[in-house]
Amino acid sequence: MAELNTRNGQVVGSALATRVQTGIRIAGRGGQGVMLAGLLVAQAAIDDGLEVVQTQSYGPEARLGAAKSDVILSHEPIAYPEIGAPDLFLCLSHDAFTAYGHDIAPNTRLIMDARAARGLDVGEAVLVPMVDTARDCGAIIAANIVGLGFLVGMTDVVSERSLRRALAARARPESLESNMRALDAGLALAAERRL
Amino acid sequence: MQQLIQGNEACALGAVAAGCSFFAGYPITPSSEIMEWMSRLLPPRGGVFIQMEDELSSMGAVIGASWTGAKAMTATSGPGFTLMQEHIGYAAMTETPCVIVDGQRVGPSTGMPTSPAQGDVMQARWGSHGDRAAIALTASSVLDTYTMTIEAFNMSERYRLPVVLLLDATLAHMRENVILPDIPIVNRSRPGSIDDFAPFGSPEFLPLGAGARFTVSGLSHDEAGHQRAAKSDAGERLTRRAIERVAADAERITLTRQEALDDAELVLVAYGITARAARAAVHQLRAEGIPAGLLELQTLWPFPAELVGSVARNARAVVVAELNLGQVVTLVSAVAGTTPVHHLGRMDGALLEPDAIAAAGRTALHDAVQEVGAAR
Amino acid sequence: MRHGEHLRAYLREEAMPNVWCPGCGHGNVMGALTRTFDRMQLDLDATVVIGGIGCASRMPFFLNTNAMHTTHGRALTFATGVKLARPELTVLAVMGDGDALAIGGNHLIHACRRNIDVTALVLNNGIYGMTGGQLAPSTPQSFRSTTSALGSIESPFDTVELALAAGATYVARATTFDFDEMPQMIEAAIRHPGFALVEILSQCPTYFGRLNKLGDGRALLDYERDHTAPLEGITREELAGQLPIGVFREEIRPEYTRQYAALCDRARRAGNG
Repeated sequence: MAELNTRNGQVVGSALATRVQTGIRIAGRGGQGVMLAGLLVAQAAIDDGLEVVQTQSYGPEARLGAAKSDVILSHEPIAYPEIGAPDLFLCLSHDAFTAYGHDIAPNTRLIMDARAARGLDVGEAVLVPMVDTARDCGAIIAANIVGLGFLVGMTDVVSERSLRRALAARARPESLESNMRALDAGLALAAERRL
Repeated sequence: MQQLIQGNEACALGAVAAGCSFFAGYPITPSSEIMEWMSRLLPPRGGVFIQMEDELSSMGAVIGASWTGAKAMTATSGPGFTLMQEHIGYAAMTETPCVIVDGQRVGPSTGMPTSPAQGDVMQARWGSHGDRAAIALTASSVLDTYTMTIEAFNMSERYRLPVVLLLDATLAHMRENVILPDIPIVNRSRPGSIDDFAPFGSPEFLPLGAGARFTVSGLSHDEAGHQRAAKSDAGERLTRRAIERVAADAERITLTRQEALDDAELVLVAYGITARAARAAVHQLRAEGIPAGLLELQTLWPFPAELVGSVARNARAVVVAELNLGQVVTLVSAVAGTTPVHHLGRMDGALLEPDAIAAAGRTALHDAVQEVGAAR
Repeated sequence: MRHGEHLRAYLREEAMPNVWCPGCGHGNVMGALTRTFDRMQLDLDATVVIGGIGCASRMPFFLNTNAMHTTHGRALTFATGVKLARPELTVLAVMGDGDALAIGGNHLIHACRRNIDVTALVLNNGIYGMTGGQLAPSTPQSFRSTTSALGSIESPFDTVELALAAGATYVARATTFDFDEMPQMIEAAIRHPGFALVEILSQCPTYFGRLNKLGDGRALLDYERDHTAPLEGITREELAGQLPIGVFREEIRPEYTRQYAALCDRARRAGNG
């Protein structure tokens, strides 16, 4: 999805540039809004005109402290519905890395909460203070949205506009403002890194 | 409009679009969301939703409702599907239109509740004791789940049969972007007059309470509904007639997707969720220059033996990929003539991956070519 | 016209002869049903009688109503579907004791709990008749059957207590000996707006009577008379082994199909779905 990986004429997310299909895994603790984050990416991608398959951990799988939501984005109809090794892995918690990190391949770009990564061998992960930033935004629960903002800011897998629209449609009205702040904060963190 | 929809949700939306006005069910993974959706969709539409005490009763209530003229369905998974067999047999014996959705998971028994399987193929056909007419459909995408749910209703209404829709745990829970299409709806045909109307053995259906009083029974019976439970050909006659109704329309009922079959030396046969991986494998093999093609079976019962046979016999090798240890492969083997038929299956809760299917295809074709070479 | 000749209209004569043995009590119940239908001037086109499997459950074949003869123990599940889909129909379920209490016990208690407007008749003859006299969950302790030749060591269910505990809103017990009272209870049960259960003690001379040396149908009617007592004006102690007969509960609670209709109205107003 080459055209999705350019911004201001600059190629970003070069690992994805040659791929027709992008596999995104979002994982975290139960209650961190992993499912919502997956749905937001999927919904935004649809608005961008992409094909989407979204799957998630269920039942006993999702009850062992960790949950994941996988999203495949593609310019073409998606045949196989599982992502295998993710291209992008947004990880919000220690346990989620333990539970779902085994699928990481050399070309997987891992974006991980900085605090959660302590004591873990996360290789060349991009460490982002998602939880801390969310707390600063007044809603620690919005770490998922900070992470999503960062992910989109870094890679442009979906457009910022579509992501905002998806968030506005799915977030509870009372938490929309703090969620939007969290999204802006995540985007800003990504912009800092790119400079 | 593009919508992000889960498989189970698409099933419920398809049911409502098909005119379903009665749902009875019992919670079970991975199908529970279908009943959750129906519990929200039916009441404002004046339809009936009821959560029953088990799967036996769910199917009983569905059949009772169908006999008042309602389009009725239930949804379940392996363990519940097994319990429903008693009443699926009753529905077949009494020519009762209804739809049973089975979100397949790994079995036998409780197995792996959240993991996909395709192990209920034979149960969908032969799960009830005795012989009967049967229709079982599959779906391989969220959009398919919507359209095949409607097809299931249409066929059950047209042929007066319980129709089974086989889904799986992955499809049940996955979401895709879909645009829901308009699909023509079939309604049960009623007899023109109730005078001398025979309630059984005809595609025309007269509900209870419509003025002709008769008995609906699971005992062998004749066209009028009189029990013929001891040494009578009436039961066989009606069963044969029901089977014949399906056979006569087999071409319309047996739906398939055929991809790159014209010049295919290697044919992949798959259905449901596995058909997606098989499609990816075909693309992979074609890119390598291997002439592979896909036959996706959207209807498993009645089995399209003639079509499968001619496709298989035109190929040099066939690979049947399915999430079980060998079910549809037995049917394909029976009609493939001298073409070697290989099976690629698993029941460990994982999907068959495109790479694995492509590899099996490469080997199958290679072996077939070698064998011909050796014979020369 | 011969006495009772008009009741033939309630029977499906082309389905005769019925399957019941000489002296069986189930015919008494069917006779009572025809008299009840007649007294109520029930619209037969709008009446559905649903049976399970067993001697009692064959009754739907012989009554001139809409009829379903279903599966063993599960008549009430079909009845639930019919009643919910078309609440204006009068729905009766006719079951035997093995049917309703053993294989269908779960369905019975849940139908009681829901209080759906179905009338359940449990014809209790204390034994499995159709399959050849086996032990039933209603067979009294120490009584013989073809699977308890030395006498049953099991505790039987009390159908009435079961229905009361499960929440049925009309519960009564009658016997085939009570020629007048039994149809009155059936009528009250049909008129009752909720789940109504009438247990009718019925006689099986072929198995229950023979295996327990209690004599023929006539003798078994005497046995019913001697082993039951009216519920009114008698204490539990005074019953002394006799089963109480009468209406145990008759109360109005919200009925399921009406509650469901109200729920649909609420959903429509809320614009759900």
